[in-house]
Amino acid sequence: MQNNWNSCVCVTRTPWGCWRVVGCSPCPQPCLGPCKPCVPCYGGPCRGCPRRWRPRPNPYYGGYYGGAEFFVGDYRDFSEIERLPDEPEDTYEGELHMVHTMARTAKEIF
Amino acid sequence: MLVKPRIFHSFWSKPLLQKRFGQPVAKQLESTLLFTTIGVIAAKRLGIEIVLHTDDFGAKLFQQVPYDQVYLTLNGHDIDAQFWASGKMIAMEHEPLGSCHLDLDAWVKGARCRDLVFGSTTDLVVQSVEDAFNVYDPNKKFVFDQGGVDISGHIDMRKARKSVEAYNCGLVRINNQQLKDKWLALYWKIVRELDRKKPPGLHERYCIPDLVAEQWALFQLCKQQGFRVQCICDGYNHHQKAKEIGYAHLISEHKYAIDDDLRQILQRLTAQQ
Repeated sequence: MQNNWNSCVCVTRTPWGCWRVVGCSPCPQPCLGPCKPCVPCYGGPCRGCPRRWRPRPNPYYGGYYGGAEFFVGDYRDFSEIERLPDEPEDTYEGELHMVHTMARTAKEIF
Repeated sequence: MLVKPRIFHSFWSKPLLQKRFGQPVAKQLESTLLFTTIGVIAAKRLGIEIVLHTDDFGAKLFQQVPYDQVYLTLNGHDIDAQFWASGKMIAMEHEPLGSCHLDLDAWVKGARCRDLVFGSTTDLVVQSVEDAFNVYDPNKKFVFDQGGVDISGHIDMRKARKSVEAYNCGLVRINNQQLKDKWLALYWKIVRELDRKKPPGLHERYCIPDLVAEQWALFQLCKQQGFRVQCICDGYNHHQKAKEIGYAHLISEHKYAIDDDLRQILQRLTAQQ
């Protein structure tokens, strides 16, 4: 196990170092082995990494490694609009059923 | 300036029908349908007009989604599917200034977000700044060098080559016609040339020329030519800001692994008041 990011064999190394989006430049973590092939996962577990090493956060997405690694914002929280009434001309009655029907249709097509 | 806030979606079926995210096509379509429907309902709950630009396949797929209008703008559009943002750019050409493009996997779900986006008078409103990780190919060559793409008539390449920043365009609203024209011209210059020349090495996993043409190019244009930009989710506090204002973007391929969550959200949103 090494602690030197220069030894990282990440294939996504760029002219300024390793691929900063998946964040091994400069890697603050002990290098757990090859972190290849990384994908633009924006900070999720690196798929090629057998240790599921979690890289340093992208500075622009930093700070959201607390359970929402793959999303910007809280995708589950709709509390604000759940309380809002529908506009008079809109109706969503049966919509869920229709979406499921369409999803099945999509499956049938393929 | 638009009177009523207006969002436009774009769906060009060709990229999604080619297993772009390594998922079975039917799975991609099912998930896409779920998160798109949620986005449409959320926008409408906030009093935002929302329309779709698509092709015949998309119109069929989304026929039950309550869009205010569906336009078959993308019928006949046919270039290499790796340029998936091209559907967005065509839609943008057809939309009025001030209309906001939202990716299908991005949601405006809070009044603060709505007011921030549509109350802004800057030339551009975008989601955020991010690293342009895809400017270089795995051999460390600048993306345009392989294709011999010359965009020096659009931006100063000496400055641009040093910049590895881009705008995440999950949400993008343009208020300035000059910026809109320049961005569209630059995007099409890059994409048409790469599509025509098809240089080797530009289909690598880490080199995504379409994102360079769309996101990196927009950043360079704005920075070099002084357009005023507002990011709704700024800098290092990106995630927290999104939560506060009521914005979300399913930015990774994990959007295809949360169907149960998406169904629950739809259930809650469509429950009787």
